[in-house]
Amino acid sequence: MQTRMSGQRPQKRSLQEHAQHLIVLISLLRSTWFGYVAGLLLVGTLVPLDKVIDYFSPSPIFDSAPFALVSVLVALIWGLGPALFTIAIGLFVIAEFISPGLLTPNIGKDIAILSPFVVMQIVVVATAICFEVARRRILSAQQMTQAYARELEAANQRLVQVNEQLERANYLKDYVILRSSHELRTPMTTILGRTQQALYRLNRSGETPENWSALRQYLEIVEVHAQNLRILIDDLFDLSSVHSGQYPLRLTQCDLGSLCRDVIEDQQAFSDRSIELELLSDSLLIQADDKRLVQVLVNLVNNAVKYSSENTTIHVRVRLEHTHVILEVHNESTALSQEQLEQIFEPFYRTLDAENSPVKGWGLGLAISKEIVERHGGQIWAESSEGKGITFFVKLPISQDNPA
Amino acid sequence: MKDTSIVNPILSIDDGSSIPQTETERPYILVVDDDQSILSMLMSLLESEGYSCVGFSESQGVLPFLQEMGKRGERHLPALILLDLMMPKVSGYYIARWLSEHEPYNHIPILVITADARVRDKSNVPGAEDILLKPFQIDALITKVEHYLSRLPGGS
Repeated sequence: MQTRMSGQRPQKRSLQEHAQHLIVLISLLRSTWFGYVAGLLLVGTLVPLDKVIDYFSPSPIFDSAPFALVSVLVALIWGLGPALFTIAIGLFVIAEFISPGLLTPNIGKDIAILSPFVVMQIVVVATAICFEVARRRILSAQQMTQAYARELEAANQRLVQVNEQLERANYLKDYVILRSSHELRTPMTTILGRTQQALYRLNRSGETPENWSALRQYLEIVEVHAQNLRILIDDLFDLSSVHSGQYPLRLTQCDLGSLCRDVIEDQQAFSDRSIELELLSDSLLIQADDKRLVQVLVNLVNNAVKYSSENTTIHVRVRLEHTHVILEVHNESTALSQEQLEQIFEPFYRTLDAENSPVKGWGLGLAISKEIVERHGGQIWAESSEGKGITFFVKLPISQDNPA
Repeated sequence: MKDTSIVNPILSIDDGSSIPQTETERPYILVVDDDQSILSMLMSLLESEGYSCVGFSESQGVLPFLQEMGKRGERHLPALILLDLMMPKVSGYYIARWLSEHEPYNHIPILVITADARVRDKSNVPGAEDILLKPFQIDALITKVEHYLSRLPGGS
């Protein structure tokens, strides 16, 4: 079956090619310049034909009739110019070859003889041209209608795409609200529960040393969860404010290389991990909100520290590429699937491995980073393959003052 | 039915084969929540009220544990299950549905404790007996627990 299908395809293709060749040939044959040639050829054909008819049937017939019919045919197919040319050639041929004695020195007499023939031909040609013009107008109107229909279809497609994007954005917003509610309720459960539990114990058995000790323990738990709650609220506010553009970026000229150096120094001191920085250009100037950009750098380097094993090295590389600067943060953690790589920048997305790891988080850091990078006119993405770990890329436009 | 003898909290086990038979003969509550702090709070609350508890923070261990207890006999099954819904690996929805579809586990009342505000009614969770939305009042939790455990033979 496969063989048959593969055999049918070239045949289909050659049919299409034939059809295209035919269309090109027809448009060439219908062109005005070919109309002049055709008029000449048709009139030329009529001369021997007329001689042959005269030979077999010497009875007098109206010699000019075939010439008039040829002029009408040319008018219908090629229009006014070639038709008038055919009438003129026809007159010349009749006067010179068909009826050589037709013209006399008396011009008035010649006009009287020829004018009915010429006028009749011009009227017929004009009528044929009127029909042809009307037909072409209809064709042109049809083509315009089709072009409008295609434009409408394209506009409709664009609207469908915009609608899909809006639906997706709306879904994402609903999802963020739902997950936020869930994530806020979870630490709140511990805070409220432990507080009530403490009061419950105090009300039940009074201020005993055991209850004071339990109270201290509960307060410590409550503080941890209240702090987590504060971080979550800050992150949610951050995501919302960057996304909505509520706070404009404070763009200044900054050197990405020196920002990377500062962030890596801090992260190294904080985590005691090996982080290698490779700057492939002396000057990496960009127009950016340095505080926001540092937030992205910290998030990427911190993630690399958290999700890779302690004995591996994290590589940070910054290079120039035409009009952009590209930052790469690489770590040797477990590879991610294509689906995970696409979802990893969505709010509250955490891979199952991350969810089951001791590393706490809500999956908001990369979503915030994506918003920040995109507001700088840049792009952020991740690449991963088995045995090669994960690399996060940030592409930002370079500053005009950057020496190329 | 309050029982002051407390089974030590057991977290993240694959099945219950390591638990001595005598410990699961007494009525106990199975508590399942992937959030360790909520799990330990629920267990300390219930234990302070005199209930025995077994806790799971990794939901994939719940069904093997219950199957192991089911093999030992119906009296080794928990008297009540407090179940979180949104958990990685095995969701509370799956656990509740599976239990409701299999004998003898379908007799165990399931009290769902969830932070998912969409779950307003027990009809949203097939197999659930009742719903408690996080954060909850501990009075409400204790009242519900008392209600389900008092239905047991010999319950107060």
